[in-house]
Amino acid sequence: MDDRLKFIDEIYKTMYKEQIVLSYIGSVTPEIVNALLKSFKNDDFVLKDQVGLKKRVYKIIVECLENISRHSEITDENLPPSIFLLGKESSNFFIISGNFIYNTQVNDITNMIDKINGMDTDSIKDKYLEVLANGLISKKGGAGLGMYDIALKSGNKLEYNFRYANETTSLYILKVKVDL
Amino acid sequence: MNPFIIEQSEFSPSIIFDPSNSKFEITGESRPENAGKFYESVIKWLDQYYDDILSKKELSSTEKIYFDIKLEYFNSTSAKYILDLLKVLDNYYKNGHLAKINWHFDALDEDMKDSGEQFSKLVKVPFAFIQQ
Repeated sequence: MDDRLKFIDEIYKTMYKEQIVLSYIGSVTPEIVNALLKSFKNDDFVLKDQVGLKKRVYKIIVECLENISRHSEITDENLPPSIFLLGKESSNFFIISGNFIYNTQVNDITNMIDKINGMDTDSIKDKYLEVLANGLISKKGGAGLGMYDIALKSGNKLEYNFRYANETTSLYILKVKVDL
Repeated sequence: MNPFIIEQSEFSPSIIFDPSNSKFEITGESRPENAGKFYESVIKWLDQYYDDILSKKELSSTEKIYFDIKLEYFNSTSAKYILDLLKVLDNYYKNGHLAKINWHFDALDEDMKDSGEQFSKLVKVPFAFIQQ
């Protein structure tokens, strides 16, 4: 088998083993967001008979992808593209998004997620309402509600990591789980 | 006042405001690419309608808004604008007019009911929850 075929073979095995339902690597434009969402919505094999759970996963995918799309302001051509994965584990679905952010954003994101992870569901709901009632729409069109929404729909702690890329940017990886 | 109608697309809801038929309805998925632009015209029309009613001086009890929200999904940015829309109706209600929000939700989508309950905490206008 030539190297290229071997590579495809490995990808196939990995994706099959890890039960990857949907994957994407590239720029996350609004058109790509729409295409990925359509693909998930119209896929009859994924959560066909679990309407509530499918909607819940859908909502998290929307917020994750819109977050990447809205904040993909770093246009350094030398940086690798964003990544998005939807997969299944024994007791949950997982959504992983990875995109490059400025190193100056790392602290704010860390503080926000740690704060949310330290809250119970009722406190997150209260905070969501507070931001909804008092927050303003940002210049990028965000309402500042996305991460609270993700946490509420997930019902699990949010997992994240930053991989230092260079002196200005890092890869920000977010993993969100939804129980089956 | 002329009806205000926006047709539904895959990611943006249909809007039907038709006062002569007492129909005020928003249906579908709300994730427009530019939520600000989308909802600006919607809220502007409602504001205008409200001004119109006030200018009639004779405030008839038949001038009512029963507003049907039949959303399958809305993103977090839309949430902000949906609240703005509810505030217009809230203002109408607080000034003594008949107004009610009919919040429709799929029986299999408890999250959508929950979202309606969250919104209802931020306004005075009454909500009815209608399971479909």
